[in-house]
Amino acid sequence: MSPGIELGRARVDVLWDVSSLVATGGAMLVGLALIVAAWVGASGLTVIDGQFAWLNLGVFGVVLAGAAGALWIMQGRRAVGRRMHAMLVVPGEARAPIGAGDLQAAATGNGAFVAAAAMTRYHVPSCLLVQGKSPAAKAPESFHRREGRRPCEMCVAGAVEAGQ
Amino acid sequence: MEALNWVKKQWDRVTAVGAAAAGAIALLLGWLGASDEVNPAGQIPYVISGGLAGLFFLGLAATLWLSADLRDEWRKLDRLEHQRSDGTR
Repeated sequence: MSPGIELGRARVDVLWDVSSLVATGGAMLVGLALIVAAWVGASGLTVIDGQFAWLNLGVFGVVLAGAAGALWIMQGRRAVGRRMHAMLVVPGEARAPIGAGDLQAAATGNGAFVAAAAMTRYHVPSCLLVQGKSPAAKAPESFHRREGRRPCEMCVAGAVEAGQ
Repeated sequence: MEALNWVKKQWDRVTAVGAAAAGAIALLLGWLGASDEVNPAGQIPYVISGGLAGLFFLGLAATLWLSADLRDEWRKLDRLEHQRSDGTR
């Protein structure tokens, strides 16, 4: 049994839980029972008109069982996908969230912001858009303004709004 | 003994192969039975017992086989997770 991975509120412990096993197995059994009932019912009739209702019942049984199997597989694929997503670090998602210090600094306007020489916008240090790049050292907002840079709409504007 | 262990480990794939064989046999028997029957009312039970039951077993086989693949992936993720946690200690 895996130790489990926290995914927000969800916890991926098992591939399939008992309730889905019971639901899928139950639906499969009901489907098979409908097919058997349809066979028995249709065998007792000698006219074809009355057999179509039994045939429909049998088709419904197959569809029910097929849908249960498909949902079972889809549920398993989702669980595997969620677990893989939790285990594998996607580079763009490895960033640190905007820190409380960044928020406060941006909100008060006294914070130090970063930007590379060629950048037209300045950012809080934890902004996604400067991760992996080599921006120049931190500088106050007034410095970046003098350099003709605008605040990043993703981090600075958002941080100021969040800090207000 | 080794074969028995393999069957125990791969019970889902073994069951899937059995279900697929049962489905194929049901389809074949249904077809043979229906083709021997002149009366359409006599063919419908073969359609149900052969055709529908055959489809059911083939679907069951596919579900079991894909479940086995997913369990393999899950076990592989277990191993990776343990390796990662061992490596970070």
